[in-house]
Amino acid sequence: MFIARSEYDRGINTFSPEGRLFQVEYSLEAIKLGSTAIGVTTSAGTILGVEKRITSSLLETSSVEKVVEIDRHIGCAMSGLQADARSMIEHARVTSQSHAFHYGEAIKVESCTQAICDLALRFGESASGEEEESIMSRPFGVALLIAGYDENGPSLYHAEPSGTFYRYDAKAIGSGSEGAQAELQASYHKSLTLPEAEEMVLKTLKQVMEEKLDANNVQLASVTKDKGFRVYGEEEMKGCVGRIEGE
Amino acid sequence: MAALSSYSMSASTPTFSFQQPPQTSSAAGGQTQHSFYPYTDNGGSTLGISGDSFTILAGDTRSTSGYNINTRHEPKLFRIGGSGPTHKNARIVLSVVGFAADGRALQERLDTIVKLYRYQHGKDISVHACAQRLSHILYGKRFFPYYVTAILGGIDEEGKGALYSYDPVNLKNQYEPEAAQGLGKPQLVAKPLDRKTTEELVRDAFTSAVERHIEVGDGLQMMVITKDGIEEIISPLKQD
Amino acid sequence: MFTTALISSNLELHALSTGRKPRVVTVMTMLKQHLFRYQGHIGAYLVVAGCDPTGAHLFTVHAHGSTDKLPYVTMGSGSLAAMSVFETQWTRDMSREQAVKLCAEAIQAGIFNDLGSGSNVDVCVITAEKTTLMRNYITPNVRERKMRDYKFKRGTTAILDERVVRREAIEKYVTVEEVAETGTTAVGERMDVDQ
Repeated sequence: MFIARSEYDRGINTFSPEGRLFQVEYSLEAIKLGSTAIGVTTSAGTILGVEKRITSSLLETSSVEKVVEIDRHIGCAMSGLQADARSMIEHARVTSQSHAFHYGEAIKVESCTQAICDLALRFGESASGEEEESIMSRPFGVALLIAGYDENGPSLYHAEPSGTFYRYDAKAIGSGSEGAQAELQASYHKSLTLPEAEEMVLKTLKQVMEEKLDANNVQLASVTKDKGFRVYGEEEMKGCVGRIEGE
Repeated sequence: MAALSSYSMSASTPTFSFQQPPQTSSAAGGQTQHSFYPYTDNGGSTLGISGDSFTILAGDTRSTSGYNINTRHEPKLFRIGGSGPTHKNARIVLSVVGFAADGRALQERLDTIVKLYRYQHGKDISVHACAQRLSHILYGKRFFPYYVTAILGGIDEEGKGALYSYDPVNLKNQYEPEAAQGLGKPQLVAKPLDRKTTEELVRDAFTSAVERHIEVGDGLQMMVITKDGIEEIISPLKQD
Repeated sequence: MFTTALISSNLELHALSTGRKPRVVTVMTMLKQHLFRYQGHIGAYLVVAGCDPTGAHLFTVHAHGSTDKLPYVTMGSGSLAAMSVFETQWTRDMSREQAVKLCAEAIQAGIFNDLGSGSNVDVCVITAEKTTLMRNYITPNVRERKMRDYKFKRGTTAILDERVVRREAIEKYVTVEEVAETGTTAVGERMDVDQ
């Protein structure tokens, strides 16, 4: 099996006889090694939650940035190779600002997600002199959960290195995604409130994390109509974690 | 040839609204200087009025160059967006006066952008966004401008009339239906006009313009934009 | 305008000194000599027409002093449009009615196809006996009625401040002087009317 594959492993834009692009599939595997990230949508807004892996007691936890702002009304959580996410987020930020500049309005969350996915397949070796030289030698090794609030209300998108994206009510990515997704499936309902969603995210993370969940090794963020994208501060995190600990 | 020589006299004398292009002239060194002036003025007038639930744009249909009439029917109002070459379901209208070729180029570019916007974002562009985009298109050619003054009209997201005007390189003004300037007299409170009054006002404005401006005439093209669509009315104006 | 008045005056003097009726060529010659002297700085372009003992004549005179003698002439910004009508429709020995109609057609070609030409047609017929000016012979461009009324209502202009000044208050600034009657009333220079 492994030997049969290897012939098609090298050319990153080469299909295998079964019609697969192995490098793209492997990149999806890379995400399964990443820390867990969860997003849950409610009628009032979207909650993002990520697990911060504290690999050393000397690590300054605040320097682990896995939820970031794209625009005032869009934020994203990541799982996989953090460094790859930087260029995707940079692209998304530029696209959002460019849209606001040209049209005097906020970009839609779907359009922003599409812009990120447009970037995802610009890898491979292109013939010299080709109009658009590909900018990357391999696919991204990171998946994103993009949360936002636009004229259609709150939304949550999942973008993969394959360049496909889907909209979800609730979605988990990363190493604990299988268990977490099952948990979300079971407990999600349309009439969730924002605090309930916060609790659902934290409880789900708690279940799938190897370490014991506390206010330092998880990070929450929310996107709402009034406040836009917001990463929770230390005190707020303690409050939220305290609420699920109390039960 | 009596006719020809007297004509060339009047043609080389700039006598009305547009600037005469610089011509070949003798410079200080006794050398002949050549230049190319890529613009002409094709004349005409357009106007826009926004109301509570509609916007009217209007323009005459005469196209001129110098003292000549190129054609008596060359519309200056264009639907922007919608689907296909007929602009089905469009809700935005652009009017352009000045250099007709630049006007057409600008209209085609804006129309393409607006149609692409629909594909990219899955919704119709708002007049506000379109106005902002047009402003950038114009400023993008700051040093080789589209030689036109444009008006953009439509219906905003709340169903109110929206109107924007431009000079060749930028957005000049956004008009509110109830905006007014001048002395605040209580009996002269500014209020949006109803559609019938506005249409009559537009017609009267053009019958007056025809008397006073030689490059205005032949036909009146009116576009009334409401939430239900764009109604186009073409009526005759004096041909002299 | 000044040029025509000058020539008109000189022509009168010429007629008196020769004791003959003036001829159209004379007018044309006086005009061209006057204009040539000024090398085009007098920007007068004229059509000279008339009937004299030698017959009916038609000339054009240009600012630099050149002249033409033709059976039909046009001038001005609408001259090309008008000439196109003449070139296609003119025939030798037309009747008065035919000529008037053709001239009106030619002017209308200018009215509608040349922006520099105005709205109405004047026609002037010169015969040996008399000159008839038909002002507004054709008016194909009557002003349209407005759909709305644009008269401002009384009181539209705001009164910011009101003060009554009585005659007594300003009387001290006025001095009245009686002037003796001269019998003749002064005649101001009468304005020339373009006929």
